[in-house]
Amino acid sequence: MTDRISGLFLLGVGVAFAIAALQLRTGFTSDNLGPKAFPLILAGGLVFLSICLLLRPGRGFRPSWPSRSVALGLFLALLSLVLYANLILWLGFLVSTALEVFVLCLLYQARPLPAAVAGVLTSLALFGLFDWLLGLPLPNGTLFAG
Amino acid sequence: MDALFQLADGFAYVFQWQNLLIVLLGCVMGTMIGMLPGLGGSNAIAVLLPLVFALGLEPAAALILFAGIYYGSEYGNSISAILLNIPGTSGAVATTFDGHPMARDGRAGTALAMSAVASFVGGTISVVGLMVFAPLLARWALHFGPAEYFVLIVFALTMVSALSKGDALKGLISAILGLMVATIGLDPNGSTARFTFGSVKLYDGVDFVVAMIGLFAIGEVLMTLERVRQRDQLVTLVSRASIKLSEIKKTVGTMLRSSAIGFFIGTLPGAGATIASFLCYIMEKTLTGSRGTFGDGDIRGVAAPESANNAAASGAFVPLLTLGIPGSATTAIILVALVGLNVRPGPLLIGSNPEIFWGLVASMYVGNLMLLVLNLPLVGLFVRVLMIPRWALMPVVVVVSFVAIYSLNNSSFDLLVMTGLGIGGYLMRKLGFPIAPAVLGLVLGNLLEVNLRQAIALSDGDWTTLAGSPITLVLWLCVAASLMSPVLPRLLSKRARNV
Repeated sequence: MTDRISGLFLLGVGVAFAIAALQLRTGFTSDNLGPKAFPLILAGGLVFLSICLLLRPGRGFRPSWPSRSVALGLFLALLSLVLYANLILWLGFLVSTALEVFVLCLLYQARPLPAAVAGVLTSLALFGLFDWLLGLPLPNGTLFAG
Repeated sequence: MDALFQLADGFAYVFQWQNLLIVLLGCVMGTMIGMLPGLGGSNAIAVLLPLVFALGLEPAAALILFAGIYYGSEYGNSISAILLNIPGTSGAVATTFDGHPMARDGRAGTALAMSAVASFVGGTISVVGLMVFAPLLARWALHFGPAEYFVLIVFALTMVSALSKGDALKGLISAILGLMVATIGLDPNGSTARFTFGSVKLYDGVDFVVAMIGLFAIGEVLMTLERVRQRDQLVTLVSRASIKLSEIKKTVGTMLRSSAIGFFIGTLPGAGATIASFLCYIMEKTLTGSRGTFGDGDIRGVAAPESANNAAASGAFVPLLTLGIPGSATTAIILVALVGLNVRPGPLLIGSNPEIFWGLVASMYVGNLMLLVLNLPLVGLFVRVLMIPRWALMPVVVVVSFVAIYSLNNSSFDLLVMTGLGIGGYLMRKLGFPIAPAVLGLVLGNLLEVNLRQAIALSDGDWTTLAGSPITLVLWLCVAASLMSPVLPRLLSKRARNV
């Protein structure tokens, strides 16, 4: 069943890709094939293969989906990653990294105190390595900039 | 004769103290990372890419570092396979069959030493192979035109799809998805922006480094987050690894045979360490017959897969360096690194950048020796890496990936692309689609299209040119054969247990 849903989804992707490719405008200098042909071949391939998957899904393939609590953990981890990516400029590298490591350690079921220590140490160590040793500037954070 | 002089130059390069340090660093890091279940050479190299760019390492030094990580991790894999019965990557699955029973028998030290010796033999013999065959293949590949390259890339993609875990159909779909992502950005003629959703940030396409780290580091972290609640590992600590000379003598034939076969299998796209180690294991089991105790801790059962998977790691460099076509996820990442350093591997590389090729060859001789000398006495120290708790390790991997990506372009847009691809990678793994074909498709997509368009332009629109020469016809036959072969790995792993 899962394979049929994947197949259906991929069929949609293939068709959408083909439509998008057909709408490409060719520049005035072009070779015989132009920019459309290759994407169209790929789309054709995907449509064909996903129909195969729809008609003949894998026998006995059953994905093991995470339980509800694990799924919540995954969701929180991803949410923290997106927040981290967005906050790094504002909060600065040191603060945001310490927080991110702390949160992830908790999600990996560490106890709060070790997680906090790991967060601070990782953050300091990486800042030292990248900013100081390698000379790659990391964001200081606009929040603290006078 | 000429080759010997160039090899001497290669050694002169490697023996500069900073390069010796790089070899050492690569081997040690590779061993430690390879040991950790779930993390392999490909993860380590992906995360290190931005660091190498930032350090301004010259291409030859970067290649030496990555190669060290690659074969070091093949050895490190075997440590967790023997001690924990958890293969770091699929290349070490065959090692668990006899390595872990040996450890349970109280012979963990012997198994580890055997693995170190076998890895050394496999590594050293296959470097000789690399030295001899790579220049030959490169000379032959000079005759390849765009049509030949097009079919060759198709072959690499179908082979990897057919041989990866799961079924071949899903492998092919994965390859096409990778190729599709590769079309994002300006088309190879630079005249049309494709699939950029109107965003200028996507004009250069998806940055390979961002994609690699997303698929390998973030995807892996999500996978382990799920397993974290399952169980704790029990680590058998060993103080040192040692082996009797008589035991080495018993395995000489095994190691020589497995090294040679491992090397040749390693040169084939897609086959690599996994198939090589299974095949050699089965071969030795069959040759020994009832005289062996395969499956219950036969020392040859460790020697065969370990020499084979290390030999395959060097073999994989042959197509990468001579044709510019990687045959596995790890070599695909190394290709990304080289291209990022403005080196385009291909038939001309050995002639135009001899220090890269011969430096690599020399570094592999030195590195394999280093691994052996370091590991016999120090394995007890390395094994302590296995005691780092999971909760501390994985968050660090995540933030290192983020810093690495951020330092690349100072762009938080890249961080979001990386997270998105990490989710994609996680879903693919969950739904049974292998990642390796997608990675290869992503890396080779541009090359595939360029060669296709050149071939068709040269023939003035005649598609039959794609099968117009004997070489292309042979390659098409290979493509057809690879599509027929998906049952091979399953068959091999079944036989390895049953023979």
